[in-house]
Amino acid sequence: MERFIDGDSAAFDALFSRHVAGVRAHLQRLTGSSAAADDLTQVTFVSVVRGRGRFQRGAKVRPWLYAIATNAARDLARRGKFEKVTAEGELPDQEADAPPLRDPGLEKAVRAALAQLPDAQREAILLHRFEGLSFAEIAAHVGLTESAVKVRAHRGYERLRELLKGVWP
Amino acid sequence: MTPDEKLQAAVRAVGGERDAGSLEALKAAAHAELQTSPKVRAWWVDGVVLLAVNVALGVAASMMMSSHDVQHAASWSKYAIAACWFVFMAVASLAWLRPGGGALRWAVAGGFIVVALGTLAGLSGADPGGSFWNGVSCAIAECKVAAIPAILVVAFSLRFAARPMHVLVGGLAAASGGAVALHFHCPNGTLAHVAMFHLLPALVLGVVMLGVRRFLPSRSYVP
Repeated sequence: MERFIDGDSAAFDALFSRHVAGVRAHLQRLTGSSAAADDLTQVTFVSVVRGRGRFQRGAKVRPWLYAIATNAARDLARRGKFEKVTAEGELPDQEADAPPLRDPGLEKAVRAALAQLPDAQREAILLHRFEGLSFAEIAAHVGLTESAVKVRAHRGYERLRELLKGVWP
Repeated sequence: MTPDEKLQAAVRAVGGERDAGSLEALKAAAHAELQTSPKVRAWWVDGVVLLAVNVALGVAASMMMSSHDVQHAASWSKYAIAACWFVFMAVASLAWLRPGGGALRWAVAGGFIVVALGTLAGLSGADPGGSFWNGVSCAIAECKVAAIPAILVVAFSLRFAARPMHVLVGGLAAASGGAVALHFHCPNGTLAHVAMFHLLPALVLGVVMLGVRRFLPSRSYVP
């Protein structure tokens, strides 16, 4: 990371290769759209290059990257650049490149449930529960207190359980 | 598979999968950006630029306008409070855009309140008379001195995912030069005048800047 901040493009390539799949998957879970996830992945890494002067040396890279990706998704959603759930509550078109699933019913229900969560709760539970970031890491990068993030994650998880009633557990 | 593992797998599946080749294609724009800007600008450079502009404008405005002592209860308090404004200016100019630093920005906002209360406590109460519009001219003078720093704060805030507290504290920093100028220039030492036409404009400026920033797209989404 230090070498990348100083402009080493090989270091950037290594950073990109290590994190792009995880960032892209996180963005697809946030947005429900493969096309939006691709666009936002590009935006995220362009932001990483432009804003690398703001990275606090010695800090963890992954929470910082995921905060950038989440900020980008939030801003583009606010500007209406991608649709999440339609007015009739339907999902975006199913992606042709989805991998073979062990439980297609649960995956479809999870996709719908995630789309129905408020943005703040969806972000909190995806980052904590499924990306493994600590509440402190999430709070540091989204500008909230740790307890505010915990409340959002807890409410999001409870709402997810409610939305998945009958399908999970 | 436990229920939690099933949920994890389902959520992971929602993330989709991409082959390495198509993921590599997403790198091109960032690579081009890196070629264009191999050298990075440290975050504090913008803060130092803002501070330099604030100091220059605050000092120049103070020297260009006539000085009055009647606003202040004592000469020592006049210079002590001016020193506090300069300290606030220095800290706020850097704190508003410091990465992380959420608690610091709240502390700086609290510092503004402390300096404002100190300013009010050091007033003489002298009322030279004059209309409401004399007060408005004070507020306009402060905004004129703050205009360039305010534009700089908004411009610099586009370089990252600025949150409301970033812009509000930046606005207070931008207004501090004008506050210093009025501190030396204005002959009105009444609490109502200083609160309404010297201090309130700083808060209003911050809110206006926040409104402007909200409509502008960020060039980068780094926190």
